Amino acid sequence: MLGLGVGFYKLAGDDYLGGYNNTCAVSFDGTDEYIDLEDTFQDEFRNSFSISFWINTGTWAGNNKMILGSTDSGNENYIYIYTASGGHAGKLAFGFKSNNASSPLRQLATNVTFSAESEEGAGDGGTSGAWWHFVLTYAQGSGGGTGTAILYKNGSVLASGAGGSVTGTNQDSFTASDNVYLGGRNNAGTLNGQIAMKLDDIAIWNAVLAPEAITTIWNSGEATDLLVDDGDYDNSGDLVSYYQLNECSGTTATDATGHSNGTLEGGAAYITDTP
Amino acid sequence: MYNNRKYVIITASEVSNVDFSKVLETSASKLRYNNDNSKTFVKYEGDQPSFLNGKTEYTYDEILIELAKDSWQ
Repeated sequence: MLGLGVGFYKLAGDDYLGGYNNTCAVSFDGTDEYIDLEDTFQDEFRNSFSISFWINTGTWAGNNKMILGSTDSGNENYIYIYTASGGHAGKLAFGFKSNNASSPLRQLATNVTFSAESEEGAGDGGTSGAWWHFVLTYAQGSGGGTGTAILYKNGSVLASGAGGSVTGTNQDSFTASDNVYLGGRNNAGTLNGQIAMKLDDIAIWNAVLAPEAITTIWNSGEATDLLVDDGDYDNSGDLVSYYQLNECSGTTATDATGHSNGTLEGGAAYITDTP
Repeated sequence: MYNNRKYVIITASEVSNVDFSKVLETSASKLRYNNDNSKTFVKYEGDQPSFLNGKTEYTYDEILIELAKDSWQ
């Protein structure tokens, strides 16, 4: 019997019914490769948002490696999703700082376990090559209230961080002048934090996805078409940008929403290994 | 998966000699420099481009070691 839920259904050959033929992803060698999303996303990060992506690092990617990031020249505003260091080494972290001229600089960080050795790669030396799905949701605080970050891995909550110091008022003043990068951080115009990884299906919404929606798009490990509402996922209208990375050649990362096409830089290349 | 790639470190003054149609980087403005901006690198697959003749080639694993040094962090 043929199901008609979220996901794609492969028939004979390369024909797909009811969904998503996820043909390609992008690999980064960790030296000088990244995707420039060609937008700061300042407006989006001044409000509640969610970010989803699929990643495959093979082995632990190292510390202070940026999956997504931008920092302004004064280091007063930044957003990044990165591999932590020090006492948090081996974990994925979310860093968010929003400037408030009348207040000390603010930061909220949520750390989660992310090491291949302790997660899907257990038992094979961390070389399983597993694809992991992560979703970060960030709910803006109201006025002087602080925001709440929740990180999901493979459809389930890994960690949440309520509080920090980014108030709703602070977040209203989030200021970014540099484009967001994938595969590294745009540190006021200079690339750093390059990470060796495979990356696929990056989406940004201007809304906080519900846990049920996140479980739906996790789809037991098969990427789905986020442009289509299905089941508990009803946020296609909240998409700001969505990079399916199915071009499979060239240096353009098309934004399926039409918001801001990205550019593959430094030799970042399309591959056919996908979640 | 990068076994067929070669990397060559060059000085900043040599960037003007780079034929970007022969390397994977696309332009001088997209190169990664070391901390004092005196060195950068390019990479390619296949034969070494002629403008890099005589330069030391690094494998993927070797360049990761170089780039992990303090001067590149």
